[in-house]
Amino acid sequence: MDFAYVLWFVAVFSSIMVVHSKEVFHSALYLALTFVAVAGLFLMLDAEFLAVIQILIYAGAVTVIALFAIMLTRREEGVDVLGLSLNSMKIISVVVFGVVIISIIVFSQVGLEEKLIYGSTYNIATLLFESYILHFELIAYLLLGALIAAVYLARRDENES
Amino acid sequence: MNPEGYFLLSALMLIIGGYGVIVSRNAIRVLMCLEIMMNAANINLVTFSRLAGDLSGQLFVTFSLAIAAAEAAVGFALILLIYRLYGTVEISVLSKLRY
Repeated sequence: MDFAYVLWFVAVFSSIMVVHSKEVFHSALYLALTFVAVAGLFLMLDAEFLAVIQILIYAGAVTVIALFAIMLTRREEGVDVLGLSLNSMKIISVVVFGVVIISIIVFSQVGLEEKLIYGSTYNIATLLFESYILHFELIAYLLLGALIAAVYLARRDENES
Repeated sequence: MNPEGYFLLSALMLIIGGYGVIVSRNAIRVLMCLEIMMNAANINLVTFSRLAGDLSGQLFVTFSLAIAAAEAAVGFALILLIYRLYGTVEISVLSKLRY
């Protein structure tokens, strides 16, 4: 059985649950699961660089921003979002971390000297800085503008409170 | 998995995200569904890039990721501003165009 099918079903199920789950907090967690599954599918498609970027930006940054927005706009106080006690959550995270580390050590087969030709970061960087350098600079300006806009919008006025 | 599987996943995620954008009552959930739709487009781009053996598709996904990060930052800042003005992020309450 191809592992891509598992990721396929995880991606579809978790994106349905983003729409369907009652608590918005759970939606954000399912959103992170969707992003991780899509990153795995990128790995299946020989796009290792994109898989890492996907986990860093989507599963890392965007999900955390969404969680911050949810917590800052929450009306009710002290909701137990997962229905678990703090100690059991600690045990669960330690177990998950251990399983991930052990499976990386046991199952990893790619050596450092192995050459990946198609989707290697070197080829992507060559294409980016030779053919698409103008687009790269425009994206840099876009990110700067978004940064300034986000800070401007979210700041608190001095005379407000 | 066949390329058709990836195209089907992309179409499904786009439809689920669009459905979520239409029916969601919470503005934060609308933005999260938008992210799902952008991810669906990214899967399509990477699959076609793999089929054609051309890395430009992966570069477009990189640009799309940067745009998605910018969109998320500005979008959630706007939601925080709306929450400060109205005290809610329910879409159905926010029907006025002028404060």
